[in-house]
Amino acid sequence: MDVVLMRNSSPNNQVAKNVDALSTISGTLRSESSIIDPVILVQGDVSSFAFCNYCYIAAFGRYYYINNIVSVRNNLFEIHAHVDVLMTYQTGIKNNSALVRRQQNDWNLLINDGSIRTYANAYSIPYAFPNGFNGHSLVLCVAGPQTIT
Amino acid sequence: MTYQVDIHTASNNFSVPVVVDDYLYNHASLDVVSGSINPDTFYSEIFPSLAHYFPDFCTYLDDVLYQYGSSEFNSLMALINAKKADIAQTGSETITNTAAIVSPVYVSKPSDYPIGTNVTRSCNISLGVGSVLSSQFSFPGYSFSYTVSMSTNQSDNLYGRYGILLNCVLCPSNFIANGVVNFSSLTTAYRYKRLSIAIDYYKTSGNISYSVRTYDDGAYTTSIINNYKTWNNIILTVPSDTTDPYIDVVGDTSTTGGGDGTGDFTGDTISESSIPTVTALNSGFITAYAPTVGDLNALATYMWTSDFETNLKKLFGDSPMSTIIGLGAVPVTPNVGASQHVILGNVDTEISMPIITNQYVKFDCGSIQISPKYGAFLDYEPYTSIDLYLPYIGMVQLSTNDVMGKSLSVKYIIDVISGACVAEVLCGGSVYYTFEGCCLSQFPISQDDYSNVFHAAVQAATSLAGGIAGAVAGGLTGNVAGAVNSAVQGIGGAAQAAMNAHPVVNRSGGLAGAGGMLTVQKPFIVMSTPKMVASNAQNAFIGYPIFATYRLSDLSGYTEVENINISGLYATQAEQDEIKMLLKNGVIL
Repeated sequence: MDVVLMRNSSPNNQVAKNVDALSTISGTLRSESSIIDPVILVQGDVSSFAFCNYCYIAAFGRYYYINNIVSVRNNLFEIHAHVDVLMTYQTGIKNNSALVRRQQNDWNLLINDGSIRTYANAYSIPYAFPNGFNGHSLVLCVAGPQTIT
Repeated sequence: MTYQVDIHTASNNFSVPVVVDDYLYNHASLDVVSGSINPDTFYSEIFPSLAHYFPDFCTYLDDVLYQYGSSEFNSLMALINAKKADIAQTGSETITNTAAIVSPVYVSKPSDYPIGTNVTRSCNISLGVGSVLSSQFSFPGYSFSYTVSMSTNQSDNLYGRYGILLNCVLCPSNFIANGVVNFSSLTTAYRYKRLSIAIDYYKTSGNISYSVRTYDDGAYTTSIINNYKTWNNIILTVPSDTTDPYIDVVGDTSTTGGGDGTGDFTGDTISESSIPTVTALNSGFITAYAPTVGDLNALATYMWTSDFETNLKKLFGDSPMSTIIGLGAVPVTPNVGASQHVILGNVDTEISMPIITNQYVKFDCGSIQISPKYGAFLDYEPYTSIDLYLPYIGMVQLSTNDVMGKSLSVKYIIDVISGACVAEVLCGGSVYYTFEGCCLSQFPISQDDYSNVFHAAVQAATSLAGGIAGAVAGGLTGNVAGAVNSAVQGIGGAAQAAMNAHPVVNRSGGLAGAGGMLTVQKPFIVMSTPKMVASNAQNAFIGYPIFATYRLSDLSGYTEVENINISGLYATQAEQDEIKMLLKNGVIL
């Protein structure tokens, strides 16, 4: 099978990754190897794939992280890979709807999910009303009406 | 949940199953696109709804529209045309209506056109077995067509109507005339499958209205398509759930319920109080003056002369001070009339003072706007607290939820006789709080208890109606104070209410009145609010909370999923589990 060796410069949790295809080599799937975590035997100069961290196997229709490259014998290497489900199924994933918990660009900060932290020294801010009592008036209260009978 | 929806038309009554759930509610008013729609936006805007309800159909549409968006559309058509020869060689139906497939579809939203205007844009994609895309279609021998059209010709009372009409038909190419599937011209039998896809829906005030077009789903049957029906303005009312899911649990008394609130969160405006119209001053048993310091000095000098004292003692026995109910200071200017001689008992002191005409004074402290600092949950309880200082009352705590984002006003009503004051706190123009206190600072003038004298005098006023005649007769021949006391029995509720307010507030607030005079005379608030840690680009690393449903293709950047029901992927179970796990942990879209 053909293995397109790539270099991935994106974080692993990025769905659509920026990859550079470097070369295509032929390999064989080691016996009892899975499509999820394939181990592929390739022959060639180690310099041709030693600096690759990503690959695409058209026969499987999947993108893979290269987890390890193990030398079996001279010029024969095992590429241990793990499927990148995000890159492989990115179109299908994006077609789905989901209940989103946190987001980079759309948010509602009235929701408290513990992701926003505060300092211990809180603000204490006074605000005065515009009007207050100003001065006092004397009040004399006496019994009876203001007429003399 | 699938509901049997009763549909009543002029000629028929029948029912159809309709799937209604939150998704449909949320998408019933489908804001299609701003501007125009092309195959790409069709895919992103309309397809989710269709995929939800017609997954089988959309499995095929998905493959075409996703893989061949608008930029690839013409290339796709070119490929199809190039493969016509192959189609012919396999003996399949040929595609003849090439004119209909050369351009992408552009459908404007209905709001671009006046009600009553027919707007129809259509595009047909015709594919056949043998083309490079044959793997995407599993209907050998038949071509595929869909029509997207949109209409605003329904001039009924539609509110914000956005409709999408999508016809999908698997048919021979001569089914199509002028770019539109022509049903009416059919006179021969055709094989077809799942033809019943045409829905135009919108939402109006709680109900979901449908305009459904469908025709029978003939799964590889042979018949004439003549039962095409048009149902308009079907009103779907979602029935309440009558199934108790707990019924099978022995001894369980749980029931379903909840969610049946009114959803109405509007309330009433509580207006501020007006000044009472019945006052102790109206009784005639009490007279209040607003003297100056000079007036008081003159009165004191006069009162302690031997002549005055002699005269008063004749009338009151022990002390001339018995005629003075109280002397104090209030922080407002009373409403006064013309100056009059002060009459003590029946003695004219010939000292003039302005007479107070209204027992109550209203004082407006103005308002301040309580604005959120962050526009976040930190602006509310329990994170932000708001304390309000009210002169002559003290510090009180307000509910942040009550006042945040509103104008906060404080208005006092002050009884200048008793010193009782009530502060009404208005939030957004409505009274939310009332606090009472005392703002009278009493000046001692004798050893008599101020409250007792005042209490007796006002009680005399309240009972005026019951015993005024006898009281006056007895008073004039003997002790006036005794006459006042004997007149107590009954003037009525309003004066009594004014009396009730006095001892409660004056007793408890007497000291507060004197103390309040020495402190800040202007209300203020103290807002305590957290200081937020605003990390640079935090949203790019862990996002901010949203908790809402999105189609993931509508988002970009860091995204954490609370839950997702993955569908439409041909991944292994392990891969789907990993996808779900990764989405929950956060991915960058």
